Amino acid sequence: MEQVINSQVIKELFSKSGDVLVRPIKINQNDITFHIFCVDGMIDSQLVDRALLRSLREDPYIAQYKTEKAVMDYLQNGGAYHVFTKEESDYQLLLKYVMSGMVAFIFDGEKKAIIYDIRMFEKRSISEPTEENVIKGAKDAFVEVMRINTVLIRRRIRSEYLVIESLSVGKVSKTDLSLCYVSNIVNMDTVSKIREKIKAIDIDNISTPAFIEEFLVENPKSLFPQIMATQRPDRISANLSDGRIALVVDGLPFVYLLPCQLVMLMQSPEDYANHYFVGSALRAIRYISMIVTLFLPAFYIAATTYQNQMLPVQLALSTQAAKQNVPFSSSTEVLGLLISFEILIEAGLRLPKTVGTAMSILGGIIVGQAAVTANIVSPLVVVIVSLAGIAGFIMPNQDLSSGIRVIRFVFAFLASAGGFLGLTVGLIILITHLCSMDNYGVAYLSPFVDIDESNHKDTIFRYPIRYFRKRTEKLAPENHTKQK
Amino acid sequence: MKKLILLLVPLLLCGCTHDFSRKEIDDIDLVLVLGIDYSNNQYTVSGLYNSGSASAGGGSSSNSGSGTGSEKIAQGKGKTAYQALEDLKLKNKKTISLAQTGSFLIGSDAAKHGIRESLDFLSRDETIKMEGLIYVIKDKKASDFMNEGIKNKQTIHEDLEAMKQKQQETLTRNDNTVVNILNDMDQTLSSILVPYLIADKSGYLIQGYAVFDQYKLKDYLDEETSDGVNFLKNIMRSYPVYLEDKISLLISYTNTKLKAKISDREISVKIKLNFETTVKEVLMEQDIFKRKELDKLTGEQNSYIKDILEKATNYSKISGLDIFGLARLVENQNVSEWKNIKDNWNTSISTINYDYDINSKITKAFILGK
Repeated sequence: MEQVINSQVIKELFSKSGDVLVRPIKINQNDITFHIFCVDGMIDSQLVDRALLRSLREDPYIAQYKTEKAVMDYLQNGGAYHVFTKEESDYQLLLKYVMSGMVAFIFDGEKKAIIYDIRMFEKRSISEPTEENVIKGAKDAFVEVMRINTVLIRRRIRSEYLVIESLSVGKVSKTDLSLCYVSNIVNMDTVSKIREKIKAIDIDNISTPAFIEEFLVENPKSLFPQIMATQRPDRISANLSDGRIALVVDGLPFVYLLPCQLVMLMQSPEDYANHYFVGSALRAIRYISMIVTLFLPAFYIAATTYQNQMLPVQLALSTQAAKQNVPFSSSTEVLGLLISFEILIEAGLRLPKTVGTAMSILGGIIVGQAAVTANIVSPLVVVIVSLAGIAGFIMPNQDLSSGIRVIRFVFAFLASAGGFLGLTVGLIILITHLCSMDNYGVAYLSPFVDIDESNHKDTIFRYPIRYFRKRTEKLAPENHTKQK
Repeated sequence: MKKLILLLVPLLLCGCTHDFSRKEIDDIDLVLVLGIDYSNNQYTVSGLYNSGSASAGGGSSSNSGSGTGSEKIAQGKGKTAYQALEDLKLKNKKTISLAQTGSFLIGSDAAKHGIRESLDFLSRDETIKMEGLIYVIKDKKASDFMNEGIKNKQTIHEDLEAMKQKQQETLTRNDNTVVNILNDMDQTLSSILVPYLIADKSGYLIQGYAVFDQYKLKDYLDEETSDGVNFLKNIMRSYPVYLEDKISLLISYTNTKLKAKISDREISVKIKLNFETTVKEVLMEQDIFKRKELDKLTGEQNSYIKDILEKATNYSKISGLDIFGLARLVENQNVSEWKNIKDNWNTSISTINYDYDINSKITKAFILGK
């Protein structure tokens, strides 16, 4: 099919689509006919009538413009009032604009169209974040509409250096993306690299977050999240000021942050809302919880199967007594209960909220009380697995929490196979893996591995804000100083 | 390749850990107290373990001793302590583990036969808890001591644990840990001191130190001499002082410094002891906090402690045994002179001159009493 801007061509293209409107509009004053091209339901039809069509019908001056080109010029120079007006001669772009909800006036003779952004479709209003709630702090969260999300960012960073670059991904979906960064801070090499990666994505549809995440991460095989998704505009603005890059994807109610380091995933907005001492204590608890959730089940297996001298004598005796009537090995008990725990979590997520709560309670009772009573597991294993499970949920980032849950199984297997030797081998592999990861030029364990000590002030412990004087060099190579 | 390595790691681990004897904790008898005895040219090792439930443990019927309550004793015999332990492992129904053994009791005969022979196998066992405590049983076999405890329905390992806590209340550290005693055995010039236990109606008591000479039990120190040793080793945490004027005080701080000097092959040791006491009981009418009274009391408590120190030093001089590790001190403080006296150290001990410099302070305990 010929790809020129023509009402007939477009009519044929959308002949089977009932929601696409291609209708002729005749300007009585000068007998010129153009076609309105839009998608029903995606435009503010009242505004189209009031601001565009009625003004055309009642405009006394339009009669003097006798050609399509003259009318087009007149419309763009005040004949029809709208903020976003654009003349378009590219057929593909015209389709993209209209499919995203804009209105086009097609002038067949000129093979051009004038685009008006009069989008209005059903959308969710800005509400509180569901995952990153804070008591003291902003309560707004991103929604599914990209433009609203960029507005939320722009509202927080009023700098003229904030750049919101528009991109598009998906051969079929043509999903809009915005790449946001503060140009006088960010490392432009990183921006180019990300931009190139986005442009290289060659898929049909961005239907789920994984479709974009997997193309952007530098180590796709790692279980540790290397791209951070957040619902909070304040978090995005803080990280943009540090030299990171935000990626807003239309249709996703969160925004991605790149490059992402482990330390970011352990931070919560609440840390900065509290006194630095309280914030530091909470953060330290989170790191302790990470160790607990990763190693506690494996430690139990290793201690009860290989090296019981690692347990205090009273604990060893009570463990021994508790296991007397349990027919399974410690490894089977722990791994079985960990799997049951995951089943319960999955079941709780899939079920409706009300049923899900009942399910969790019922599951807890069954797995805990009944299993102990039936001598399927020992009470201590229930405590160990529950503690590890709860500690895992303390992670502020859901992706990190999920990754750690999987790694927990690996450690449990290694402890079953080799006790503390296995655990140590696993730990060495984990540390080696984390140390070797590089995310857009920034080490994944940065700033722990940074030589510059000034970067260490917002890691496990949060120093008072006045000490945050420098930005990480690799994130902001030209603009280090945060505050004097 | 990476996948292959990842697959091989667990397999290799399984292979490597084959000798680690993977064993579930409930399939092991955890020995809590180990007794070592020697009689008729044979060692007997008695392992006290918690039987848990009826199905557990039980020990070999031929080998196990008496057992009531939840604690049971299993025994093994052999020409050496290690052979006896292997015999015990062989005959016990479940695997025996010394990983949780908190106390090692050496019977008096085994101590007389030689501490090195009794404990050498411990230094070569990687599962042994280094902080386990070693005691000598005064004039008794360790197995009899343990059997009596079971007969009296005592929970032996808990009573021994309680005693350890009590020891820590009066001393800043326990010097009778496995690691310390094994290290002391390398110091050939100093005597090894191991606390000795006696059974009392109320439980177990440490009365003092058993002194070893050339790894063999030589003597039992009385309580005051042992206290003197603790002061000299600077490990005393608190100590009661009872003065004749019906005043009781409690030492809350002590600091002992020994300085050894050698001149013309004569060794002199200056003992500088500073301590603080708190008044705990006053059964007299006089105001003891007047300057004159305080000075008098300070003098009295200084001489009280000096007497205790002298008991320890006198014992050392009379017996010719270095009971508070002087050899190392003299060597460290007089490196060049030490070479001349090293070979005659055993005779030199009796000629050491001790000089005492004792200073103390009495503080008030403000409660209700004046």
